[in-house]
Amino acid sequence: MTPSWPRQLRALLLKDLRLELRTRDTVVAMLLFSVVAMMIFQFAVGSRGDDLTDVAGGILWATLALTAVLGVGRSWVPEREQRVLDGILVAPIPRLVLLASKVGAIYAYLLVVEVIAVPLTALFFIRNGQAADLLLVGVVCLVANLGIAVLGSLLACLALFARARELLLPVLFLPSMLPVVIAAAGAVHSVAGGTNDLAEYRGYLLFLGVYAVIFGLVAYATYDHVFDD
Amino acid sequence: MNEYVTAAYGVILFALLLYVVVVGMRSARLAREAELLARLVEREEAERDEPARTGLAAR
Amino acid sequence: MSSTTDARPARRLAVTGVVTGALLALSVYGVFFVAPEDADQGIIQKIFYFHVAIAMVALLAFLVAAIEGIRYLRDRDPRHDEVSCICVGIGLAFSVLVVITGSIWAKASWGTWWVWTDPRLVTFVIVLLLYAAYFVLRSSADGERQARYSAIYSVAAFASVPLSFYSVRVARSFVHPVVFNQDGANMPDSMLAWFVVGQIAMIGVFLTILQLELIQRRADRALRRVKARLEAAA
Repeated sequence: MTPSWPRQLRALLLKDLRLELRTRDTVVAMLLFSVVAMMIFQFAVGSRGDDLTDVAGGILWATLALTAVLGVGRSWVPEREQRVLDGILVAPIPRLVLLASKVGAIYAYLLVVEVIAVPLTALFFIRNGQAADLLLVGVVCLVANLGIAVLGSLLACLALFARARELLLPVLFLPSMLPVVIAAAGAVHSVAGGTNDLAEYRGYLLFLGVYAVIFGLVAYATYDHVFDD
Repeated sequence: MNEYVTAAYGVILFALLLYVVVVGMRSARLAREAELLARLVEREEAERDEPARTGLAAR
Repeated sequence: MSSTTDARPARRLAVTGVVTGALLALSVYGVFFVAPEDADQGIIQKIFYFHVAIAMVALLAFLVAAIEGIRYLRDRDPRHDEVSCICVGIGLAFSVLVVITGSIWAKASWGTWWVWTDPRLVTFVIVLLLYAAYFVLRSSADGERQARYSAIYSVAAFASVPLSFYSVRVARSFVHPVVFNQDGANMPDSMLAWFVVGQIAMIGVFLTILQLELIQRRADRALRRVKARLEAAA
């Protein structure tokens, strides 16, 4: 009796998350990387002691974009390393569910990183910040992560079998990420960068939502062809 | 200001000419390979005819 | 349907080429000797005729590439992959030209070789990255997978194009609420006519190059087949 797709999705997602929880490879690496990246930005542009509040949003999302590459690159690794992918494809699991489970995994990894990175950004770069603004930044993360996760899981599959996988993925992933960086950084800036412009914030959030929807559609249209037959 | 307009159109013209050169080089390579193959075929035909003639002479 | 001894592609190329050449000549003549000079920008505005035409054709090329990508995914006919690949190449080359001519225009208009404030210019830089990645992806795979992955990416990349454009524009619009200068939105007919001629000429260039590339690849494949046969017989 084939289980329903929500149950399959939950099963696959929990499998990946449990695996990650056990080894913690990916998330720890992403966390460390994000902190180091922020330090790089600080030392690169802030050594003179300038107030970086204005660009804090930019630093946050530059960091998250680069960190996302790590997480996305690792999202299919369980299948690849254990050669489980063929087995899963043979099993009666809709490929869309498989893709969705990867989307969920990346989303989760990003969220964990953001839980640390967002307060850190406020601590390092924002002067006179307000806690309420952080909640708004959190919402930006929630929406942006969706587009990143969908884009990432699709492109990671394209890079999966390449010889220079670690090189190919950033090259594929980052140019398509640029609109997210622009919009998410702009959204953070509009509420936490020394100003408070909710109209601007909503505009950027809307864009991020549209981004997620459009790439959701792209993924939906092409997911079946991503996997070898 | 004229220099800028000329520069812009010049770049476009240059790009087109560059493409012509690229096509020319590809064309030359195709010609070389075709010629190589033609010579190969002619040589093989000559080799096939050769033994037949020496065979007749030997008899 | 046999295309091996078909002379029609050559004839089509000849027609397209000649018409395009004529249109290009006509267009340059019109832009420089007939179209009135722009009141605000002066002669610099002349750059725009081809700059915009090339930009539009680049986007058209990417659209065709995406469509051919979808068609490949549907019927797995390698010809669609071939057309898709060539179109991305043409689009990429044209995009380079857009950025270069845009930079020249920026220098002429604002005194600097580069500005981050023009959404069109920035979009094409992003486009360069997007579609350069297409070729990196292609070189990472072979055969059927190469075609399939390229097709998928051609669709994803094309989706990124309007998203990139609007992200830059939305960001700009919050700083400068005024609708930025849409050069070409309110153009006198005398200018508009030559814009259209230039646009059609550029589309002709695109079609000419596309056909030329297809013919060359056909020749290459045929030679390879002969070579393979001879090597097998030897």
